[in-house]
Amino acid sequence: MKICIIDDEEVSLYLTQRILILHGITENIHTFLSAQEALNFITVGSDEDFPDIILLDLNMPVMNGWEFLDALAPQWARDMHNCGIFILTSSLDYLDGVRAEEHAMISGLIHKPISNESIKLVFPQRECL
Amino acid sequence: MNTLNDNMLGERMLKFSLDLICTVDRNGHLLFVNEACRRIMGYESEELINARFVDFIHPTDCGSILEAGTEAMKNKATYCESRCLHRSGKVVPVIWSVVWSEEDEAFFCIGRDATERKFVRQGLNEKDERFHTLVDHGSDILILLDEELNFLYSGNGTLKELGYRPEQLIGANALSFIHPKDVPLIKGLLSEGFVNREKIRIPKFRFKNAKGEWRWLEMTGNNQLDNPSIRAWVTSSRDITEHINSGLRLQENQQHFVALFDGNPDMVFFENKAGIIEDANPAVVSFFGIEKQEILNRPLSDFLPLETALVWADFLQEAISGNQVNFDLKVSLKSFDLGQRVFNIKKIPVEVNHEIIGVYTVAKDITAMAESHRKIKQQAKKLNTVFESITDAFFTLDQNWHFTYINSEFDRLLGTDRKNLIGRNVWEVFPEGLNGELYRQFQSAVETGRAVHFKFYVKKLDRWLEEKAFPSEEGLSVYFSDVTDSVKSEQELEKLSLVASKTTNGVVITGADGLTEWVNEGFTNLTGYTASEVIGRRPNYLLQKGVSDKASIQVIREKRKQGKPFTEEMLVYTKTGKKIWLLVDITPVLDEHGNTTRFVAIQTDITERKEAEVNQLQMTNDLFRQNRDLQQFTYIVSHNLRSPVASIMGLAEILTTTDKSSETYGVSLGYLKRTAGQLDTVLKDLNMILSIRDKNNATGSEKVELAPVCQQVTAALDEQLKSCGGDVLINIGEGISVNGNRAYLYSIFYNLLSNAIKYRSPDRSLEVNIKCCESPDRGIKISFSDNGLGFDMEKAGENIFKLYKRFHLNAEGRGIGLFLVKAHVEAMDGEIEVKSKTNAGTTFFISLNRTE
Repeated sequence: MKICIIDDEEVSLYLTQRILILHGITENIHTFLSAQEALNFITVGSDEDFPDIILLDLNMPVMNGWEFLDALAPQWARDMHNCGIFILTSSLDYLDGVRAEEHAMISGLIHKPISNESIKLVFPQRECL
Repeated sequence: MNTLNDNMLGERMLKFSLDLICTVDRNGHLLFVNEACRRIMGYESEELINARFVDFIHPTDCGSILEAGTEAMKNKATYCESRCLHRSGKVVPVIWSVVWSEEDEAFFCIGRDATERKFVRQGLNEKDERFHTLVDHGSDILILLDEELNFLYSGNGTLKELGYRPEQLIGANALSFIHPKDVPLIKGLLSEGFVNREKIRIPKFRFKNAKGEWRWLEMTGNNQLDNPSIRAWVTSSRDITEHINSGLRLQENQQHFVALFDGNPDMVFFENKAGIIEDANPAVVSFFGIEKQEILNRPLSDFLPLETALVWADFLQEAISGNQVNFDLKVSLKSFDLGQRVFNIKKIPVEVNHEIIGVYTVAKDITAMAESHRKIKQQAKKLNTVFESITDAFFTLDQNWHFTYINSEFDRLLGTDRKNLIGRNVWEVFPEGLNGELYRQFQSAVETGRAVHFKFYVKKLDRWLEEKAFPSEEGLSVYFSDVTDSVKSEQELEKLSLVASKTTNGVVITGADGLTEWVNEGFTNLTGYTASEVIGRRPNYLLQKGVSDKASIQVIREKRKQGKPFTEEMLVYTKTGKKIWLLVDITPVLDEHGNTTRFVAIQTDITERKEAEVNQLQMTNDLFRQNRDLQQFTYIVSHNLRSPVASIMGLAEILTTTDKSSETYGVSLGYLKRTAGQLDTVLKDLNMILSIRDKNNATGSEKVELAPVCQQVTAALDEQLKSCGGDVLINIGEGISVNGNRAYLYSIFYNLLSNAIKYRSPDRSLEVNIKCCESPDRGIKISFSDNGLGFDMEKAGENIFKLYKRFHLNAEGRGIGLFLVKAHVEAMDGEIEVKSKTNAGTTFFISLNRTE
């Protein structure tokens, strides 16, 4: 299983990673400090490099979460339907939730810091925890 | 003959006499009776001798027998009639002649059996009866007179005709009833009558009737004086008074006629059936001025022009057919030097024995009358035309308030029929006027003799009438007209002008040319310009002095052309230069053809409202900004504040479950420290932002010279500039200063310069240019440009000045710098714009208020 975490905050990125590890999710975690970096990784790499899970922050400079999704849309439409994209945000803005709900590519929205329930939402098949 | 013979003859006569012959002594005893007594009375002579004569007489006749005896003794032969008693008892009428012989001391009586004669008498009596009836019931006055003309008998006719009963006349002398003038005539005639024993006739004489009036009588008299059975004048008279009178009248008429004919001032002439003039009166002669002989025996047509002659002939024929004709004839008598004349002609047919023999004509010269009639008529017609042509209603009243004239306009206005009003009392026709203005005014006109002029409301018709009444000797002449519309519009105008003059609004009336005709006090109160200052000029010329608001003037001009009411808001200046806002309602006044004759503009001072609007706009802007800031805050709270908090919470979680000695623990603790610091920074930022906002409201502005501020900033960042090899060029003239806040200006330049350093291009050394130029709006415009990385304008858009927005990945910027720049600029009532091109550079333009 391949997981991508995109967040411009280094602390946040570290935290997310640590929590996943705490839950025993250790394999293949890629972290990106900018959306552009992540996009390059996904689109340039081979099919095998397609992540199974993307955890995406929204508020980022240059390319924010929404812009990232727009850029990824062609690829996603082609062969990334199995990829679960989850918005990971510290925002309490209600509108973000509404927009995420309506977006076809988004599987769900989870708040920072990541709770046990959120882990269960993202990884429902994992029972280890 | 000898005596013997005579005696013998006498005896024989006695013996054979059929009549009863007897002698009676003084005492009534029979001395001798002849043999006839046997035949008449049934007695022998011897039986009667010495018997009393009266014993053989019917008792009722004894008196008359005795009377006859007495009469006879007066030496008068007497006749009498008596009924004798026959031996058989039957009554025998006997007529006696009685003679007294003094010598013989005896009555010699001869009695004749009158039985036969009685029958005859009876017949006579019947005749007599008829005669009496005739006398009684006839109208003739039958009178019997004796020789001395004393009344013996008077018939009923006398009573009927003259009123006298017989007893009033009988015994009286007729001459005393006869008019003294007629007495000699009567006497003369009567004496002739005596002489000639003839029937006489008196054609007329006057006789006094019972009432004392003289009546004319016609009498025939018959001398019967010698008739022993009558012995009287038998007269029969008729009352011929009427006849005499009518005769007199006829005579009188005749004289009248002559007088009328000859003395008539009008022309009178007689034409026979052929139209020939048979007689003409002196007026005719004098009118034509010719001799009478020249007129007579000629037809009138000889004197008339042909056309008149034909008319004349027609009328003559009509008169001859038995009709009275009356006509006016206009005739030209130039040949008699009389000119045009008008005659009133009456033609009267004259009928004798049911046949018309001719025609009398009375011709009255009415030329003068006709002329004056014509003139009067003409005058009246002219006057009538004048009255009728008076467009006002008109009427005249006499001194008793009676209508004497009413024209048609009167009827039209009041809905009356003048035919029914003429002659009636005005107060009877319009009783409601008696208690009001109308009566007072009319009365005043009549009393003072002066014309009155007044307006008067007729409630019944809901109309105002304007009346002018002119008194004269004849009464009042009154003109009036319906002024309802004008009174109403006057009243309306009065009200309107009251409103217009008293309203606090300004009212301006301009002509179609836009030049002021009238303004009210409100206008002066609003603008300070008096009526005399603005009349004849364009109000906008004054009110917009020095204002270049040509657009609104143009709009007004365009709208005025459309001829429809419109409303426009205008900023104008009062005489003292004060700015005021007016709401102007402009209404065009149109004539009947739809052309604008003038405009009415009503100005309402809406300065307060406008100011309120400005305030409201300001408030709206403020509110908008507050709202926007609140959104920013929400964002900060939801992200920039929340984000470190979330991290801290997460790290804390890790730390509690991680071995303190492990590497992770140390790393996490480090992150925790860093994140807490981040949180602190955010809180400090927020504090700063809030403080700017507070100052924004509270701070006063000061004069700040720009160049020194820029130099201070450059100096403060000198170290960093040097380390990157950057260069700052300040091109701001000495003394250029703005109205603002020194700290804000410092913050603005500091943030911009530090951004320029942060986002410099790695490929070239940094160059910053700070220039200053004049701005038309605010006075000062500063441009701040660098040759750094720049950003994508399309992508960044409005977000460039937003809090915590960053557009570069690697730089250490927090995304607060430009937010603060904008906040500071706006706090000084300035504006900021940005132009940028990726990898070429960025320029900021800041407009600020020049120091005054």
